[in-house]
Amino acid sequence: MLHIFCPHCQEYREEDEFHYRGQAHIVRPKDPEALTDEEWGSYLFFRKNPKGIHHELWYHTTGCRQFFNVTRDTVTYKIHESYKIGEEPAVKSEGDVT
Amino acid sequence: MSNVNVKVRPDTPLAHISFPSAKQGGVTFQERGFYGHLTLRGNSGDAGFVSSVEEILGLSLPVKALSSASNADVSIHWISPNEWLIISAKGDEAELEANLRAKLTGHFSVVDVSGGQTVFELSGDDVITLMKKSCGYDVEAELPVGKTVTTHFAKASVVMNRLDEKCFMLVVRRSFSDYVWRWIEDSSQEFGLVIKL
Amino acid sequence: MSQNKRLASGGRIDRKKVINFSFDGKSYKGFEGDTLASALLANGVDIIARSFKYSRPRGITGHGSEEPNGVIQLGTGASTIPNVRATQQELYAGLVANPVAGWPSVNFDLMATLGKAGAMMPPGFYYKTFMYPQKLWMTYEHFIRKAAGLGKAPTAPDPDTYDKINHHCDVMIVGAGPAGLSAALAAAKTGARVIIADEQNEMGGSLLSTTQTIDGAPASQWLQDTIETLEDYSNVIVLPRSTVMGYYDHNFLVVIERRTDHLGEISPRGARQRMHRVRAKQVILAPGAQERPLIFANNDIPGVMLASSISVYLNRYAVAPGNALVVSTANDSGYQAAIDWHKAGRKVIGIADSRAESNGELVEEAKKLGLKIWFSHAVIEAKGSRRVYAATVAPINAEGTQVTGASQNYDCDIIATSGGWSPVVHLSCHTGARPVWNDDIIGFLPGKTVQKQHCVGSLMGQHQLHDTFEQGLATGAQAACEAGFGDGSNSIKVPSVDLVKTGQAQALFLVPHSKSVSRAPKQFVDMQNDVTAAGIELATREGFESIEHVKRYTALGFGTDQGKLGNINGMAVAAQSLNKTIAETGTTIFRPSYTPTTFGAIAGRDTDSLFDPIRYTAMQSWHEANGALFEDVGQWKRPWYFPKPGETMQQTLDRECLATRNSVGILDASTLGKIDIQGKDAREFLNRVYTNAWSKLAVGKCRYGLMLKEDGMIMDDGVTSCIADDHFILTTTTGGAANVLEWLELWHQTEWPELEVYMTSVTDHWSTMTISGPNSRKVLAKVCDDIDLDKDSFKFMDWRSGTVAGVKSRVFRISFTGELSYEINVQANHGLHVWEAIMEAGKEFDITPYGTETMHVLRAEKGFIIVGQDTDGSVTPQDMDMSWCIGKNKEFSFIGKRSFTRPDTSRTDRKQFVGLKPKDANVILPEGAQAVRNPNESIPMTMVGHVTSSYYSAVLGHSFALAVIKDGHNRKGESVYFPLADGRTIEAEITDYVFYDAKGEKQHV
Repeated sequence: MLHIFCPHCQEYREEDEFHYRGQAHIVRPKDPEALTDEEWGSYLFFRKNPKGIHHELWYHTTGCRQFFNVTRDTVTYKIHESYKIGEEPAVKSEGDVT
Repeated sequence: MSNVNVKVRPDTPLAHISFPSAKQGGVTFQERGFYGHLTLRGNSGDAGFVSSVEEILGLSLPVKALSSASNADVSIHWISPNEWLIISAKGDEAELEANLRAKLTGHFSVVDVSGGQTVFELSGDDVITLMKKSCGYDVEAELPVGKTVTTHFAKASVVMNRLDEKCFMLVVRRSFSDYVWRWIEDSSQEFGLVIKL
Repeated sequence: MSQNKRLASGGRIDRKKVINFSFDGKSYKGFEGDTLASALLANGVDIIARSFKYSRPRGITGHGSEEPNGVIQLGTGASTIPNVRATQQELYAGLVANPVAGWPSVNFDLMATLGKAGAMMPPGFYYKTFMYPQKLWMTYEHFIRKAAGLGKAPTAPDPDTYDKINHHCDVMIVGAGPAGLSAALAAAKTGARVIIADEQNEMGGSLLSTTQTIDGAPASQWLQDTIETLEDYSNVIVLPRSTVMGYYDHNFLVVIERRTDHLGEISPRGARQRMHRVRAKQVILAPGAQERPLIFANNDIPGVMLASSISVYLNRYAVAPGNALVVSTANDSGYQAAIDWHKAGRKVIGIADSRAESNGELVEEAKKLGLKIWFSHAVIEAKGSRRVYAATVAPINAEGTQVTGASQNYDCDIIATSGGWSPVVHLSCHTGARPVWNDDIIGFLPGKTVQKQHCVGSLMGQHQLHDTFEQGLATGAQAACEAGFGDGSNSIKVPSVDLVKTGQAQALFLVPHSKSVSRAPKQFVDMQNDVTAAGIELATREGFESIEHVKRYTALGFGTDQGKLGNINGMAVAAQSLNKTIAETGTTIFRPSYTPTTFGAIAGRDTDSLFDPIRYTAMQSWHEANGALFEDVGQWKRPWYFPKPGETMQQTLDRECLATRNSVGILDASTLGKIDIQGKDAREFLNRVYTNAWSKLAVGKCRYGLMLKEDGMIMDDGVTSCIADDHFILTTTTGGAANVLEWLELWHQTEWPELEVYMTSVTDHWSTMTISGPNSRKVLAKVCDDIDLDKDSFKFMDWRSGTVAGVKSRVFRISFTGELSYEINVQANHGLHVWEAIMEAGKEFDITPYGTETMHVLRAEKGFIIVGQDTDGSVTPQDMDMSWCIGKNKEFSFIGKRSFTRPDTSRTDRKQFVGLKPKDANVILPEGAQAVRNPNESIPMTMVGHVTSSYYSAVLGHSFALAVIKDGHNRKGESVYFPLADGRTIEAEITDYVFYDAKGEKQHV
């Protein structure tokens, strides 16, 4: 069970307090009507599935009910950081890991 | 025959329970029914919002995560960066809500949730072991007096605050209270459970 | 003859406490402190079990959780447990044990005859032999299943209870041998919260049977003092009889404590087992190393045992399992068994040491005692069938690959074998770190891990007690420091222990035989699954070259012992066969559970009525008192229907439906989700998340809203009401409440944080009761006198504030039945009171409480959808003929809008919402039944849709259904057919989905 740092509550909590919402930083197109079916389909359905660094969206369901992002390694499950919506991750690739 | 003016009888969420009557036990349970509960949402970065709340409640708005403030009648608990839970033992939530609405400006929301939750108070020599059997939160080291956390208790979501070294307050949603009560009754069997009415 | 193998003195047993037990129907005696295994050995019981595939007789091989053969069925009836390791089961008064296999008995097993044809049952045997003809596989399987199998599962509910407890600690120590215990001392001293767990009933590990002295005194003294010290610390939790069964991400460990398994079959005091769920800042792994046997021909005969286990039985249990011992070893530690055997007064026939020489202390001592040693020799075969009677010893070459001379048989009844010591790396790889082969220690070491973990002791190939204490203390101090306690230095005095000079061990796994591997008598690698060296060689010859494939093809390591004795040997045999090094061949990864875990411990108290929260409304006690039967809707209990005595369900439904449409009915609707939305941008926010337009909804008005996902499919629905210009109450389906709240927060927090809205759940705050029917206004008038109920003052889709039965209330004139209907909302503490008042007021109109079933029927008669029943996440508003819900002039491209014009959603042959009228008025179509256009089409038939809701209607006088049928909107009047699994085909006509009051007049009266 993962141990996740909620940047709003500012402490670690057990994974079962949270709900995983998949890939982070997916911005809703400002003008959906202007997109082709392929572009819209890509926004709807296509997601990254990296082996390694993954930026993902989590929701603190049984806590502060706020969303935040996590940088997690999908191989080792090591969590590098939690950061708020709107912020940029410090770890973007393997090279950023200290 | 109209029953428009019938005498109103309120029930707490555990009104249907016939409580056992043990005199001794390692855990003591008490339901604090009919408290007023208000969910206040607003911007703690807005000085006007902060000062208005403080004026009405007589307590500082807790802006530090997971903190709370309280006096004899009222407590206010940080739930999220823009949400607080106000609990009034006097049951005067309607008045508090009206005062808040009158005073607060800007973007805020006040919602009466008194019918939707109740307070369980747990204490006793074995209360910490009971808490460890029921929740994954580190109550021993991470929950000093006055700290409020929203977390799991068994499979229910609760707001938990430590009142004293061996005394905890759980705010439980109405529809989960029967389950939480029966969980407490079950897991305190090894210690003995005393009910305070 | 009772306990003829028990030594006259010694051991950690209590001879004053005699225990009676039975095995295979016979009675025996043992002592307190015995395991079932030590007691059976003390009584000279040879055959404990029959092997899985060949049904060969098997006895006790080891002394702990690694035991592959001595596996028994414990207890009887509801508390019986299959596949209990006799070596881990503490003896208790009245213990009943039976073999897990063997017919007619474990001593005379007919399957063994088949086993002798073993050459014809190589790996893949079942697959290769019984594949054809395919249709007979189920017949074969039936007999194979009867022939195979170990143990019986209980067939009645478990009489015991189990529970769980959560811990947070600074240092979690796995294993309470010398390394773990010293680490615990050092860590505890810093004030860190320490938990130390060991699977054995006594802490101590190797100290429980060692003959080395510590600080000049027997090891038991240091052990006792240490345990007392640890138990005195308030910051230390000591957990014996506790197996760390799994090591999970971020240092989360699960420990199963066996609280009462040593006391009896059923717990005499509370939870039988307790699961400790530990979140640790730092973990110290000190689980030790496991001795592995050498592989040689017939190495599975009762009497072949691990060398260290011989010492344990002698020193700890005072049992000598035989009379004449031959040792076969590739290292110094095997000599200890011979030394201890000799000191116990038994005969040592000889020690076959595969190495040319060793100058180790144990070898010197054996020589001093005059014990016979054959260097460069090994036992190449055990002789015997039900018990060893001789060992075949032969000279072998330095590489350990060939027999170099004539062999000799020596009479004996015990063969003690030691191939070496494999670090117990299991927990270290549960989170994915693959162990790494190390030639120096001849074993796998824990791999590189991201967990905050320290490894110490025999786990790291370090077997000198002399060094273990120092390393344990240092590791404990270091781990505590990294957890924030102390400065990392150890101030506890290191106990003094002699350094035991040791000769170099040899890397020998499979002992060569004078015949080739494929011709020699079976050389067992994995005892539990009868996997032989020949079998592994066959696997590699057939092309299974990856160790992962070899494992799965041969079933190596599959058993309840998870390959504790067989895996390393198996890898070595595979490597040799592939002409690779062990490092190149690698190892498979171990996974939780380290030893089998009972389901009860996993369930804990989350069982029966506490399995999941059962949620109730404020009126539950009334429903129960009035005979309601209940339905589960999500976690809620909702009244399903209210049968009167003697009524069938259909009779009840007919009565409830007719009463509601003709007079007045009342429904508890409290479970629906209710979300309070406040803020100046509330309207804009609603516009974006719903299909409907909200900008012009006036204060005091309600509107039905449809919520879609971005792919255009219906997600949820409900009525939203305008409380003030910046204040709305949104309702959701019962099951969708939490989902919708999260959905709204998702959009607000991650996409539109600039919108000023706040959402608060008020689902539990409001009790909701709906009165429906032509007399509902009259009933309401009796309990409410401050709302003008006139039909033109309080119109359909209005809401009003008022007082009902003395309680402040919001009344919504909305209808899910199609009748005149009022939904009364009061603060839930008053819910029951107001319900009772309304029931009283409604008596003169014969007010009828109804449940979800009648609710379903009435709304279906009106063609109202239920999201999740008539929709399944794959239908759009257009499919459901609900385009009227879609706002025409909404500026913002609301959620789902763009998806209306996707190629898939704009197809013309999509399933569309229709009504169905079965040709036979009394036949009710099953929900989910698939529709075809031509009932005579050959299989596979073309399915064109399915039934979503289906009922008998007393109001209509016939059965009816709702369905989604391809192109349904254009096919009204056509027939479709429903072929059912029972052979019937039901014909039904496609109709409009509104069956009752098509003009919708009744809700306006």
